[in-house]
Amino acid sequence: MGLLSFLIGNPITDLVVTAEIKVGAWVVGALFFIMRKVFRLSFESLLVRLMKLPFVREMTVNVMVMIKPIMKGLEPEALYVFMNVLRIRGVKEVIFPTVMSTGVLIETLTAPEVIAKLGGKKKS
Amino acid sequence: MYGYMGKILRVDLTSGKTEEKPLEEELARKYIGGSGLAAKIVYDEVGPDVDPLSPDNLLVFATGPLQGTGIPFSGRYAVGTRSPLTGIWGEANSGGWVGPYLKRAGYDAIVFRGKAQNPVYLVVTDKAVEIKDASHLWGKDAYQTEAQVKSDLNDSDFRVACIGQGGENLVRFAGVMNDMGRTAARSGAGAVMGSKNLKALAVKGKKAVEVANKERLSQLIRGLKLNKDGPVSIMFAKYGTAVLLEMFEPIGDVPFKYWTKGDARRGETARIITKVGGGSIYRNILTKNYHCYACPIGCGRIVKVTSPSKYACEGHGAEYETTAAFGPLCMVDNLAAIAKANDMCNRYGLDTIETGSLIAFAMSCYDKGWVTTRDTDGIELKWGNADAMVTMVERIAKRQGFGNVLADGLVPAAKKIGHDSIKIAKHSKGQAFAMHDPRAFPGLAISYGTSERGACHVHGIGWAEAAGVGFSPFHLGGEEVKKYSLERQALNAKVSQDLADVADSLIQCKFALVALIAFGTQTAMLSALTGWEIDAKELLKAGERMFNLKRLFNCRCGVTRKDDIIPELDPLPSTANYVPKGNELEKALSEYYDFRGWTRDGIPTEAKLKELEI
Repeated sequence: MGLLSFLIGNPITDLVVTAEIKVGAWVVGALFFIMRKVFRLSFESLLVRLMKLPFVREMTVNVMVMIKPIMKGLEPEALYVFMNVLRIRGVKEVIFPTVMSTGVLIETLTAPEVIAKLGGKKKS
Repeated sequence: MYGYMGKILRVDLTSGKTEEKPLEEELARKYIGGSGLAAKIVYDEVGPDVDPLSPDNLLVFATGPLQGTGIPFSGRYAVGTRSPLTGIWGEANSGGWVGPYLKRAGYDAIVFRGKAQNPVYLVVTDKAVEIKDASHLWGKDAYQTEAQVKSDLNDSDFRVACIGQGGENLVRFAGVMNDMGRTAARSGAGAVMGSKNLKALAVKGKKAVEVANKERLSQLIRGLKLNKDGPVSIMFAKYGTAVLLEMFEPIGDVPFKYWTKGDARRGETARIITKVGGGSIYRNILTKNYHCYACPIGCGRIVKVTSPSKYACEGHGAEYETTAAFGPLCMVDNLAAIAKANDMCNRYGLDTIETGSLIAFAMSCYDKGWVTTRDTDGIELKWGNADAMVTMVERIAKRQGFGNVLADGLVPAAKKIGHDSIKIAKHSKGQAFAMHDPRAFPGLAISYGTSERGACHVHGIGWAEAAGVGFSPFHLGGEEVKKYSLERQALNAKVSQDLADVADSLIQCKFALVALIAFGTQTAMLSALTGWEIDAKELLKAGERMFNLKRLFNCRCGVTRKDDIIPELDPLPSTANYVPKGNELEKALSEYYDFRGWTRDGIPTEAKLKELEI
């Protein structure tokens, strides 16, 4: 754990990982820019369209169900690792807000009411 | 009227008379309930010359349409008044069971006016209303009071909202306590209760709330089932809100050493968090979880400390805000001491954010030599001194020694301490910053400054948006908010404040607002409940209306543009995502006023008031 904290918290690791994340974010951002301009598709509308596909919809719901025991089993030590990962500037500024907002959006999209509207069977 | 009981109970404590008044449907639709309804009543009846602690001030306990219906997250009630801490609009709300019980006793709100000659408590059931003598309760703490009231009434099914010694002693940030540890904490409503010699309110009832479309409402409630199994819910259920310490410390949101220290890589701050955060509470002192009424999460904790004996306590565990205020803000890394300070606040009936902030502020003054042991009766207010922190909680509640200096709040305390202490006091309109740092989430610089009750983290949830757990772009008209700058934060602050006012009028836990129930679903539930054909746009407009009404009240109390600017914050190494500067804040504030439709002095325009039908 200590070694992991050291590696994650190392300024060089921070620099390298942050640079990689920012390059990745730039590439993904560019892709979405093109999608917005050419196909008039935002990230949100893309997610909604994907969720209309039965396979994606069912898989997402299944993943949400699978996450439950993992989250329930999460012990404090895992929280502390998570704390250290969040310390990386690129994670803090790019990955964290993106994952959280996508997660919330998926939670909303997988609500049975929404699922029913998107075309799937209502789950309760 | 569907969704409401249709009655407001008026209680004149001076004469001892009670009276029922009807709740008009038009008023309900415009101000929904909870803090919105309370604001309308206080705005209409409390003038700017009314001292908050005088008999002429009103104290409103209000429920909203959701209470007593089983809709998730609806176990809340609101209190509204003119705040003795800030002198402006004051409100707070609390979870537990009092809200639904009050509604089922047959009332949408209770309005207290006047001052009883001797201590009293009010008993409200679905059959009768009675003012009873509370002389024997005066001097008891909130836990003892709650138990004694139930014993006196010979019925443990009553739900009790009461004050502890903090409210009796008119500590200006005393809260209203209920259900053994839940608190309507901010704004000092407990002191207003104390000023009226009102020790407690006991409620019970079985009246059903009539629902316009039961089938549709049940369908919507069932639809929320999956969300409660989501990662956010599970994390809060397992670790409580204190898990936010682990999540937010690395991104610089948790304030340390009274706002002068932040995320130092692998440094002291991380060490403190691992000792006092949600993980440590779960591992070391948690005995069980509990749920408020109709809550699918159950973030409430019961904790027990047995060792060391000086910190022994058992009861409602500390939330995120409390843990941060008594822990990192005071540089205290002793979990048992934090649990003890929290327990004492719950018993004395004090706002833990304000209490922790004041002690940390005093430690900062002590560190600078502006306060010495001569001022504190020998108490060494050094950073991290857990014993001193715990002692100060008692001194504040009892207004003893230096505690009496702090008991009037941050600004009066700074004036008494002198030197440059007012420059380091972190507050807005006299209310201490909550435990989220505007340097991490710059939108907070605007929402802390413009919040209608003084610095507040739940009435401008811009931090949630910046963290990615906030609102969908729907609310922001498709605008994207830049996370770590002031750009576009004005709109974010405005929308999140309006949404928060909707939640506080419905009245619903902020968990629902932040992450767990889509706004469209909330609107649909309100429609099914009341039978109103109301859409998200109208509901959001109601939120804006309530916010503007509270602003009008504040303007009447003398609030101007300068009160909307927060004190300066110093840059912090490695945390410093952004440091709001005066001129940038001024620019963002003007932008915020434009979005609000206010003048550059921060006053709602005639056109805006007409648009909102105020």
